[in-house]
Amino acid sequence: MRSMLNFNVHEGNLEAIVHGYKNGLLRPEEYNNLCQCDALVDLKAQLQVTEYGNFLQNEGVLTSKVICDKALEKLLGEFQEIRDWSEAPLSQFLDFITYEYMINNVLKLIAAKRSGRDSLEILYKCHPLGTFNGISSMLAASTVDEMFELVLIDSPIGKFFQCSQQKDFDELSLEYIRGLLQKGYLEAFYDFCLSVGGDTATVMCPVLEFEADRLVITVTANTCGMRDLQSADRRKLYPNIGTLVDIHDDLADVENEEQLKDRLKRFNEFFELFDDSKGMEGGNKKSLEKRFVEKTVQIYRDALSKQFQYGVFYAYVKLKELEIQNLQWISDCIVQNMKQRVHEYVAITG
Amino acid sequence: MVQEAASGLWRSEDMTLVQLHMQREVVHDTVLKLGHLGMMQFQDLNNKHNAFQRDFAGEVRRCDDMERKLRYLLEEVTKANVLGAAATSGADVSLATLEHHVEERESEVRELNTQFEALVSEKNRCREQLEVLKRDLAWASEGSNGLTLLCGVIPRERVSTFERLLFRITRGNAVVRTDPIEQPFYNVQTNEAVHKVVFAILFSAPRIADKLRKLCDVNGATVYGYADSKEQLDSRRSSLQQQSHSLSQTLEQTANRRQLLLTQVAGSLGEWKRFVAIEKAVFGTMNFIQFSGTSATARGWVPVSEVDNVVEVLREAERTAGAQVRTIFEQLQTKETRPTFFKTNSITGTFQGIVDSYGIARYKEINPGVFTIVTFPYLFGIMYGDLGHGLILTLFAAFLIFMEKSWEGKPLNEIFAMIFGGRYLLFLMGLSATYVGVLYNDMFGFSTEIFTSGYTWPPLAPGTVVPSFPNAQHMKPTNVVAFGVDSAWAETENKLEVYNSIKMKCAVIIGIVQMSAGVFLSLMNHIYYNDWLHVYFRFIPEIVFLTCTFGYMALLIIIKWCTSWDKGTHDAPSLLETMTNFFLQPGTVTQELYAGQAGIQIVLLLAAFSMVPLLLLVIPYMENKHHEEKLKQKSLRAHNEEDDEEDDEHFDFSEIVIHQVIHTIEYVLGCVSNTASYLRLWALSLAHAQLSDVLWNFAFMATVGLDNGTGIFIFFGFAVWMSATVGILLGMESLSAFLHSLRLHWVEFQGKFYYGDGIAFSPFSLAEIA
Repeated sequence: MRSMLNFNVHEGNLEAIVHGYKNGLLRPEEYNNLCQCDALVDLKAQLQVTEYGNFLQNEGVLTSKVICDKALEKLLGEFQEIRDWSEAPLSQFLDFITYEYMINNVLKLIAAKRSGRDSLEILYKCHPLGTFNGISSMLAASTVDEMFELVLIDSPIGKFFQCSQQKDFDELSLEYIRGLLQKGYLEAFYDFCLSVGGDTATVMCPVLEFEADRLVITVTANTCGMRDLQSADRRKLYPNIGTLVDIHDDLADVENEEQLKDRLKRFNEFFELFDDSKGMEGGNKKSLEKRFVEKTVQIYRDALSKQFQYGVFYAYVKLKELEIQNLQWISDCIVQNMKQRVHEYVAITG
Repeated sequence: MVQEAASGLWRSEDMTLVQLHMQREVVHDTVLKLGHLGMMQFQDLNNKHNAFQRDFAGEVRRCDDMERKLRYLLEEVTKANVLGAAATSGADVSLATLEHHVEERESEVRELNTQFEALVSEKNRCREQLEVLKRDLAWASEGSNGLTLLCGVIPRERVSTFERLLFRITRGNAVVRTDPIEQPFYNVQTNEAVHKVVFAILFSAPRIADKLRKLCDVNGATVYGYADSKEQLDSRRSSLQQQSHSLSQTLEQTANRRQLLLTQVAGSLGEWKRFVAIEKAVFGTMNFIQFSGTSATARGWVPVSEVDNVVEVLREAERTAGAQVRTIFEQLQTKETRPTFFKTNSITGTFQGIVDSYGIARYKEINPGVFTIVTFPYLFGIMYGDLGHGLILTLFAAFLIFMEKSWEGKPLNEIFAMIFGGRYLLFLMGLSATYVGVLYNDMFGFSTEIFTSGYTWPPLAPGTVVPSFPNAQHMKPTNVVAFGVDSAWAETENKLEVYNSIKMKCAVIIGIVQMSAGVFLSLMNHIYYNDWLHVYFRFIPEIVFLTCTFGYMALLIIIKWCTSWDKGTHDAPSLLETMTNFFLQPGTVTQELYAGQAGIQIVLLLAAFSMVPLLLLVIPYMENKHHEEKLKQKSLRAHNEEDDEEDDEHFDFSEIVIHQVIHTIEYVLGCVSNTASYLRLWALSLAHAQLSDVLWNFAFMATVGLDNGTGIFIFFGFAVWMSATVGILLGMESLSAFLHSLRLHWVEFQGKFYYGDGIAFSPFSLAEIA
């Protein structure tokens, strides 16, 4: 177990590196400058004076995709370096971070397969943190079950497929598969953090519990109108962690948003998210997802503030990811001349 | 503007704020020429604008773009490994023509590259197919009744994954054979060699063929069809061979053309890069200039001594740019803080660097860098005093100075570049160490008799063979040795005590002299800034306090040195005891050094301590009074007329009091602690002498005793001694003495007078770019 006594011997250096990276996150005034840009070349010039530096210097034609890809590449480089230097259990912890991206990539590939757009191109749209050996071979399979048998069975995320004890994935909707995988992932990650123990458990467990609650609420909210989903099936998607465990059975029966809101009354922090009066921004109603994201930013930042634990690695990757999404939002707004909405990025630092 | 007498290294250069009004067309040339002169610090007149809202953001971006293209060309040149012919100097290149030129070259190279790449992949495909056909896959086609054959080429590292996947997808119902290809393929994108393997899969179910093809696809494998019959095989082999041959020829031609093109480019690349970098810097600076219509206004700091040069440059720029209107040059009056600028050369620059790394001098305050040139090597020498080590250091520095011409401006190893930069400092340090080494009579830890000793053996009594051991009580030197410490002390039992006593006392005296010099420099600063309040109530209390306490101690040391203790040193008073009594039991003197000592000491102590309240109280009181008067005047004036001048200086009484209290405590305690701090001069010198003594005696002399005449022991002993001397004494010890010398200058000396809160002059200069 890592504690104050021996943490620095093993991970002190890497933790310090991450804290250095954290200081490189774009600050509000830098966001302000970015929002004032009229073209992507201006954006590039503004980014040059930030921690991103000359990361675009060899790009001839700038698009928001190029900016985003390069930023992701930078994040990947940072992550890879830390992963290379780490030893167990930190290395396992870092692998767990990537599993989430792997799951998303796999889901993306499944979706592409089902809609018949399964060319090699789709691989370029995968998140670089979530690539694994043989991911490309998934395209050779024709059904989800075959994907599983062919590739996923010995990929790092194969166990999440197995633990769901579902036999035929082909029948299931994509959202349902996503729910199953995320449930498996969150539970496994939670168990792992508990086994690491110490401050890592105290910091990471609440973070993961929140993620689990978020999953429960979003799954419930998204499936409210669906007739073909039985409440028992929905119940299967709820991870067995989180603060909402007590009312999982109640939530599974929810039929519309009002009911959901009603049953969440006891849990003030979630109830607030549905409170429209607080979620107004410039006349536009914020989506539930956006409110969740804003909430997570706070949680990640708290996780970054504590020393001697692995939460900093998780929180940094998440925040950087959000920052890259912000960059994409801003550059999209610039390209599409939607300057009035450019300020709707997620405030990460402040 | 008339230049002040003290302008230069002593007090920083006079600065003046100048404003240029010029025609829009001349701006570029003017900025370029001023950049070459490197003597004007432009002020940003457009700081309300964002970096990309400025007038020349577009040009800067164009330069960026060109730099990117040049980087691409350079990459290609290094990849192709060509050496360029000498640059064809185009003196009259303009940004636009060069831009056009670079773009042309870039697109040419890019086009050739795509051609080349296409050809290479074509050839690779050809070769791969040939390799497949070369393999005898007859076993597959013959013995296969109803089995399907799929063959192709796959990268070597993918083979194992591929085979595993294949097994899963066919559920084991397939036969796979692989055979590596000897010669690797060349991958143009990564510029690397790729090893590939030929594979052949034999499977029964034709309906999974599509799936298998897809699997090959995603694993980077290429599938080739195999010939049906023997004749077809032969004909395809020969046609492929031919195709491969002709492709090779085309490839060679393309490669030659590319090589030729790159050779043309390679020579001028360096020049282009420099040109673009200069243009980028010029446009960056032009963004600081305010444009309105056809005229432009620039403002910036210029040293008064350079004003003439700047004007000359302006006229030159007018001529080259063909201006119709003359540029107006005017000097402005300003209350802004002026930047500090010292004109240094390669010798003074090093010393100025030592001071600057502590803090940039306030505009026009005395520059400690001037003193540092002498005192820094001197203090180093006192700590490092050794004839041998000093000489080696001097010779090394002299060698660096000798190589100056050939090494200047060349890229050197980082640490070595630092040493090379400080070569003059090192040289003076070496000289000083040598000089002090002669004073100490110390060379590699043993003593030499350079100057004849004053002590002589008494003549032998008749009949004795062995001289009796001299009794120190009766040893009197016949004369004083010409220079330094008498070499006879080296062999005495109390050598260490004598050396310590001398070095310790010298250290304290040098310290007090340097500190008082610092206090006097503060006087000169106060007088220069016309601050008489500080002269009377800061300088005077400070100097009186210092001289009455530790200055007196230094005087006692000298008096004791100069007194003859003929009857033996029992009568000599202990200075330590005297000074302890001076502070703790005023009026008590156990052994008098001079008559009336007790009375004088009481007077001195009272004088010293009466200075403390003077230092502490007067300045805050006076400043407060001054402020109140100002307020009163202001309110009076406000009654008469509506006040216009809003001269709102921030005034906070408690802040001033706290500042003064801190200063007083710091100074009074500092006198004690700084004096003690100067004892490091002795301590380091002792450590150095003892270390070299130990090394000499135990590393070298010990082996001399062991040696039986073969010289092997001496050889190894000398090796150990020499490497320890170079590593420990010349390397580490000199570094430690350097650091202590640095500390004495920064803290003990500069702390007495140096504000160090100035702004460095940073002119726009193209010298570093070009």
